[in-house]
Amino acid sequence: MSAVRSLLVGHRGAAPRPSARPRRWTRWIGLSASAAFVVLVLVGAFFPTLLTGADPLAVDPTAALQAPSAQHVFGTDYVGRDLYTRVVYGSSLSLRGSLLAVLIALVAGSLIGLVSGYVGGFVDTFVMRVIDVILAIPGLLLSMTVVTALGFGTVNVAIAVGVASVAVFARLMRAEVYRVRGTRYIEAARLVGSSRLRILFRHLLPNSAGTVLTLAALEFGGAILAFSALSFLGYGAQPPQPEWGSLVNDGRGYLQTAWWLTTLPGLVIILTVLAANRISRALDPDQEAVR
Amino acid sequence: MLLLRYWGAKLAQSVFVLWAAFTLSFFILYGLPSDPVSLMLSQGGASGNLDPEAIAALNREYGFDRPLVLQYVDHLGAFLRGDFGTSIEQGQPVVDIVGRGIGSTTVLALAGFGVAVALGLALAVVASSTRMRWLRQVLQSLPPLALSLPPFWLGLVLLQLFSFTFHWFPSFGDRAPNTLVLPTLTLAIPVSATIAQVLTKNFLTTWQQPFVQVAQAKGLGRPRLLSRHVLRNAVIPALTMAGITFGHLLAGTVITETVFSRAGLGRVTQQAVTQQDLPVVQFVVVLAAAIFVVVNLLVDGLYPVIDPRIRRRGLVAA
Amino acid sequence: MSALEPALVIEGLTVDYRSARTGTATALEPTALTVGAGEVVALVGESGSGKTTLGMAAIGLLAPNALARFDRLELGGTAIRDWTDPLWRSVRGTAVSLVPQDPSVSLNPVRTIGSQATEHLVLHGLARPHEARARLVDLLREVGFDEPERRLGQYPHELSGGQQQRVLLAMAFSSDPKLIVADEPTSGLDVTVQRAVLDRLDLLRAEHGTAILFITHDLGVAVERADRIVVLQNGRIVEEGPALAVATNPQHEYTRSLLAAAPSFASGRLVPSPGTAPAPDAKAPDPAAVLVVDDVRKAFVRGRHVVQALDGVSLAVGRGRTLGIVGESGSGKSTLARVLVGLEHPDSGTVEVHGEPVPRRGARALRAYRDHVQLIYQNPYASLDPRFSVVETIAEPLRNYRSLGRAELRARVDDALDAVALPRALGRRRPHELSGGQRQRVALARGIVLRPDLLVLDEPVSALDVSVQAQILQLLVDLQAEYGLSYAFITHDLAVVRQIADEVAVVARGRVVETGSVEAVFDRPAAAETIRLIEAIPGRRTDAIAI
Repeated sequence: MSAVRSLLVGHRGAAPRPSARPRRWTRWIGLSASAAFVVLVLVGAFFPTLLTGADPLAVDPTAALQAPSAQHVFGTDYVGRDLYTRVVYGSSLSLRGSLLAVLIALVAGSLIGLVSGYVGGFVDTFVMRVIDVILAIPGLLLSMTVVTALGFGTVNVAIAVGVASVAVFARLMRAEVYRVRGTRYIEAARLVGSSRLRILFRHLLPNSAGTVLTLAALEFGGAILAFSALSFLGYGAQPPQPEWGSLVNDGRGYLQTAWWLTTLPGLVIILTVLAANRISRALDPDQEAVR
Repeated sequence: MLLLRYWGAKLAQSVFVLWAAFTLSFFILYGLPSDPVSLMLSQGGASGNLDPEAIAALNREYGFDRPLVLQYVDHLGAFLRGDFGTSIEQGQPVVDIVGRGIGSTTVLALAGFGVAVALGLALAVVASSTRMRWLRQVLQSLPPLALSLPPFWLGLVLLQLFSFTFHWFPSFGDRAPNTLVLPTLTLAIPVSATIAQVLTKNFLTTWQQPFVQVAQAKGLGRPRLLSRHVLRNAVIPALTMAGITFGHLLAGTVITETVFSRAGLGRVTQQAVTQQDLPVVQFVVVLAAAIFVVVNLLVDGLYPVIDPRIRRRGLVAA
Repeated sequence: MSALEPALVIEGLTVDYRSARTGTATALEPTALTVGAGEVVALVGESGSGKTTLGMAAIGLLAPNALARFDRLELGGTAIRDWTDPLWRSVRGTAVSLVPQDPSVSLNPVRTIGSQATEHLVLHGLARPHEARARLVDLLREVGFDEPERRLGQYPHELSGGQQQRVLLAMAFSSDPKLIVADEPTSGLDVTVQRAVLDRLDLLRAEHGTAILFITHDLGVAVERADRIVVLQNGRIVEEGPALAVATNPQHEYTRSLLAAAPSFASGRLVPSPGTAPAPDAKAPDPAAVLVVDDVRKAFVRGRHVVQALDGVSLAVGRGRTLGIVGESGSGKSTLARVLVGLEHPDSGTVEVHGEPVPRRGARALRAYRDHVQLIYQNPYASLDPRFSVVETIAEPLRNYRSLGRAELRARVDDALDAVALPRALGRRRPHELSGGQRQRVALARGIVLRPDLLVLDEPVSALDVSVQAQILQLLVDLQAEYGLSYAFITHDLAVVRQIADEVAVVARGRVVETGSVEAVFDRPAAAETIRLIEAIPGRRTDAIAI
């Protein structure tokens, strides 16, 4: 009585695999598609004329509220402007604003975290308490506070979004500095006579920077969302300049008659965020690398 | 005695959070160069040449011409006395303006919390416990997707579908209960995605714990493993998220109430920012911090009841 | 089902592991295993040998990525069809039980002992709730708890590691199973506790007549505890036979190498490999002690308690000699290691190297001191910067202490690589690309590249597999002969001390309780702690036979 059976067993702790990860080639396709899309959007942001020959502000009342067609792939808005062209030009403000926001958060946050973690003691305690409080206030609310103080406009909104994520970077950087500072290999470096400066620049920084840069990539998607939310609320560039968020807001009055005005710019935002997140996940050593 | 000290420390911490939130928002709002008075006058219609006299007079009236530190001390004193200031734009006490919106927003936020927790928990349990590989993969990819949706866009798409296309729910209004459905979903979906992500991770790591294997070696089936060994261990660490979650919900109402044209605290906040109404904005920030503090105190109180490892410390404390 | 029915029969079992990165790896080639009623069978092998896979297959709990099949599997007379057979759930917790590896994570932290250790009895209808509790109380008393009733209401975190493992033992025996799979049941415990738990397991087995499948990496323990030994290597059974026969007359070469490598079987101190000659720059032998520690005290404040980690420690290490410093965890031996290299400063007492006291203050003075004294850690992976290549790691001390030209630096690094027998081709690799033994060789190369007088070794081999452990110990002996190094060798394992040390100091509660030559301490132990540690060495049964 020997029944030969072969099967995949899923028993130990009944545990499914830690992360249900798609196979290698599908991963590769997803990653390349994401990279391609991000490159496309970046081209739109910095060289919009390469993607469209039209003028984002050109009004044509005879062609108002046209559905997507071969001539107007995204349709037209209520004064006949080409929506595709406005989305392309909108990426200029939206993407550059988001990049600026991440840059502010990365630089300011890392600096605060590095100093706080390296100096330690009372300074560290105080800085981290304040960081905790900032983290307790919802990011959108904090950004709105900064916008209130600075006034409207693309740059101000970018600063506001950046300020709201400074705390996240500061805390991560500080945690990384602490983690690395407590490792055996830092102690071992001290034991073989390395100076403080050598330890800081050759051991501490290289080993803590990676995680923080990964976060920057991840925060980019979040910054696009936060930026477009504030733009949607009307705090960004003033009309008729297009931003992704404000384009969606412009279409709010035409939900019943012109679905494309809200749906299509929104889809572009989503695709950009998804692609950015996909790439940032590929950068994350915890998720993809060989360690 | 020790219990007293524990709660004393917690309380002191809470007060610090409130003070820091107040101070931070004060210096951002009043320290940076904003000019609410000019804005207010220019809204009267006179564009360009404003009367410098009038600006100076109003700045005097609101105390904007005094040194920042003095303004800070005055404001803090007033806050402590329960005087939260007067709206620059509407000339009414801030409390009245916020108070008018808070009822409707509380209902929305609580409904959103309930739906978000239910959705998030259900998703996490199924995604981490099912043996069907494809289902697990689909479910685990949902939260990142939901978190990539701009909430305002989500609200508009829901409106487009369920109000204008299917006519299931009204597109605006805030009286009838069925007006609550779409705003609640808009508010809850992003929050539930965060909850689902954290919980899924907790469930997956708990399923891998040796004690679950030991229980399985005793012949327990999957449902019993889940209910007796995995569930509580996976959910307990997630409780610390509650404070942050309520904050997200409050911020979410700004978008949701704008999209669905509901009156409420979120709408009040959105308008206050548009009008640079500093006292209102500051009050909302401090309110958010207060909600965070209260929820966290509740969780701290609840912890010993559900986690024996903490209870022991509580016993020592008692 | 008769009483003589074997507890476990497995035939034609193969297991592969699928991995997204490396493809499919074979863990077990077609294997057959039988455990008779009441028999203790030990599965012995190093990590990766397939011993755990075989043991866990016997209870049907393989990892989710395992691809496995068998021709026949019977547990206590119940034939099982396949891995998804519903019979599994009725035999687990009745006919077969598990004693897991690490007790500290093997009990549900949020449920009481009483509730989780009886649930399977109720589930399988073996007892009603109150009967199950009564049975558990009896068993808890049997495994040595003095107030078993009180334990029922306690949570796992209120027990020590040894107590937790005894609870798990009681739980495993509570259903009166035919077979218990014990997966390295003591590897997470202190040496002396290990012995107590194994004794408990022996007693219970004698009482209940249960068969045990005992998974262990330690041949000494296996010889001492098992009736029969099954030796595995690379997923294949290479030797199988009665315990004493395997120990005294091993047939397979691998078993012989395991026996030779197992510290408990080594008869004396290792000698340098043939052809090892003193290097030209080796330190000349010198009767004066390199290191003198005099009455060192060190206390730590933990919350509101003061822990006296070192309470008047005095010892000395001669040039070219090895002092073994032995103690259980918490004895203060790790603090001593940190004091020796100047990472902690003693509250009182002195540490002198060549008559120079270790500087108490001043980064510069400490730097100069560390030119002469280096530390080797237990876990080489943690002590190597993940971003540094092998060459960069070994070159770092030279960059800090010697101003050398590029070519000379490279030559010194190559010399160090040769000295620790690492191929120069590995120089560009990073720590995660190396094996555990290779990492410890890199750490050793970094430690000796400055030609220090004293090497402090903090459990340098306890994280390594037995055969790798033997290689590293031999390397240490060779390096000592070549360069005239002095070692302060800190360990919990007296068996290792016997292989490498000249003198030994036994540490307990922050004091040196016994000191002397290795022979003297082993032959005539005086302190109670020493006797306990010697008894904890597995494999004394075979030693006795060999004599």
